Amino acid sequence: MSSSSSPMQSTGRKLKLKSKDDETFEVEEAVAVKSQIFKYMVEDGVSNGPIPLPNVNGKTLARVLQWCQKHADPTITEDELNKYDAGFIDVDQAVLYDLLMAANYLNIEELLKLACMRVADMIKGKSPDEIRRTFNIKNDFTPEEEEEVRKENAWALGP
Amino acid sequence: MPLSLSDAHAVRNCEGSRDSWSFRGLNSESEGSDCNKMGKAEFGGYGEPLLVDDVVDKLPIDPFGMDKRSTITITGWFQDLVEESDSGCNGFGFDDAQKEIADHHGLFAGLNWLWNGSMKFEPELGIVKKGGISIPCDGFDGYGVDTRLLDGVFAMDGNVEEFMNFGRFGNWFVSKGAPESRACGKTCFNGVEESTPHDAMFFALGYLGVQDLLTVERVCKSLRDSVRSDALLWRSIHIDRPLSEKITDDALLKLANRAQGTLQCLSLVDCIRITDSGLKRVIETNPRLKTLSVPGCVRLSVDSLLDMLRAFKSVGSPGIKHLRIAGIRSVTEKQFEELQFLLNADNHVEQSAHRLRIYSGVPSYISCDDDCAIDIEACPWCHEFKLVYDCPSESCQGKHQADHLCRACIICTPRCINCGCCIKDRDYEETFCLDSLCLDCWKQRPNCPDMLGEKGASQCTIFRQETSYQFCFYG
Repeated sequence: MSSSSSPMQSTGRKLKLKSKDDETFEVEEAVAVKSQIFKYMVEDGVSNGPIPLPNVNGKTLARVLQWCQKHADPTITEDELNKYDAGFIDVDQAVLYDLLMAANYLNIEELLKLACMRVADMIKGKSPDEIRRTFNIKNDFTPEEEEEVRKENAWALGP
Repeated sequence: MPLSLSDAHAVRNCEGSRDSWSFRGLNSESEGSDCNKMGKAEFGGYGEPLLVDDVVDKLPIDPFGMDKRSTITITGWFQDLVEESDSGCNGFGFDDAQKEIADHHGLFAGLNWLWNGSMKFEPELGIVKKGGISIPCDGFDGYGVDTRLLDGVFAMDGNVEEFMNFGRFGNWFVSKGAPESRACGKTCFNGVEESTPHDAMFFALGYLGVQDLLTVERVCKSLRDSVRSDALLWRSIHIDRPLSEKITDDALLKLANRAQGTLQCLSLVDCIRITDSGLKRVIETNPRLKTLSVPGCVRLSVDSLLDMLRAFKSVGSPGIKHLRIAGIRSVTEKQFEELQFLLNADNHVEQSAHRLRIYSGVPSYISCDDDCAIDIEACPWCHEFKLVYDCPSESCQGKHQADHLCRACIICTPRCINCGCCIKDRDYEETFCLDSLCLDCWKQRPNCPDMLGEKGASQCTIFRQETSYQFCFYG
């Protein structure tokens, strides 16, 4: 996988990507191969037409490619990257979800980890009610089920 | 005109005017008979009256304007609030079919509705103020108030229809008077229906610790099922504070079983309730265990650990490769040698690449990623089998080629709790917690006066965030 430390290949070869809402993007190979999917495509020979990505919308794809661009830049320091990532992932829940699912679909490990950790940070330390509120989740337990779960983990709740 | 609840006074004429409402302190007398006419919302009408104290009745709710949370029954109508408030307020989305809400306090059973908190309504502006901070109505969360600023809870009982005309203040809780009522599955402040968790949440579960996973289990059915059935989440179990003092043998077995036999790394830090038999049950059902870390688990015995390792060996299983036992009972030389043999310590890389272990004030429990077979070793000075620390000080490293002469256990070589350097031949200060600080670290403390010899009250909080003492009686 092309890591951020390897020199950017100036082959000039670009990949054409098409989002599910028909937005087209052109990216350099060195940037695109942050995604394992594209990496394998590049290694096996790229297809002619634009690569369709039916699971990613244009807005999200644009963000993802922006992230890939930054991470493919060999001149950037680790500190700068960390700062960039912190700002990049500080987004609304809906955008965060889209980024996470796109990173999973495109198999971009670092971005997936970044997004997952952000979601995890939003969960950590909260009570079940607070988690429900934060993520807009309906409590679909019956009273009996709720009691059963509470009892199962009662040891962890006590003082 | 803004209405201050903390005043607990009627602020408008409640004489049948559409612009009227009144507020009553929970324990206060009514503010005039006309207001009482509005008193369909009297708590007495909906259930058992609260027990009130006559004297308390006469006291103002918040005489000193301290914004103390007070419980006030709101008796009156809010329809004028609806009319006056901006459309910027979002609907509380009250659904008749979803009326059941937990009465979190029980005390308010039978109340019509209850405002817990001191807030100012500014209905004409569509905002709520607390302590001078404005909260736009659309800032309300699922509890109807922005709980970052308030612990206000709305609870109501009885005539739901009355509230249908009320202003939009996020969610209202309808109390059935029973604490065991289900929590309300209300629409959230922005009007979006509550639903099942997004797929993205399930990806994030792998980044949560045990305590958070157990909390997530209680959120909804799909998360519960995922937490319980996804063995990958339980492949590596790490129990630390605050769970370490609570976890029992049974609880540990239940958690380990969730790995469905694939448990690879088990880390129990200071789990004082875990016994030999409890740990044995877990080990027996998880033959793929590679790393076992039980520092500070004082009920465990080395003999029992040896039995477990021998059992692995006898069945030809690869067995445990990494063992961390610092802090359990003292290990004899014979036991240590057998442990090394059973762990195949000779084949480990730590022989060639010794990793520096620096003292840091908290027990230096090596993580599951560390490559060495066993954490303890013979202290070069006292020859007991304990954690032995290296020295980060350059002067110590410069003097000796192979091992630092100060390399020893913490008893033989006291060290600075902050940087880990030895303090045997240096000046040092003792903190309030009886830890030692070298002078460099001492001077760097935020409150430290830059004078030698001053022994003011030391502030050791920056170095030791948590101090706790465990008393274990076993025999």
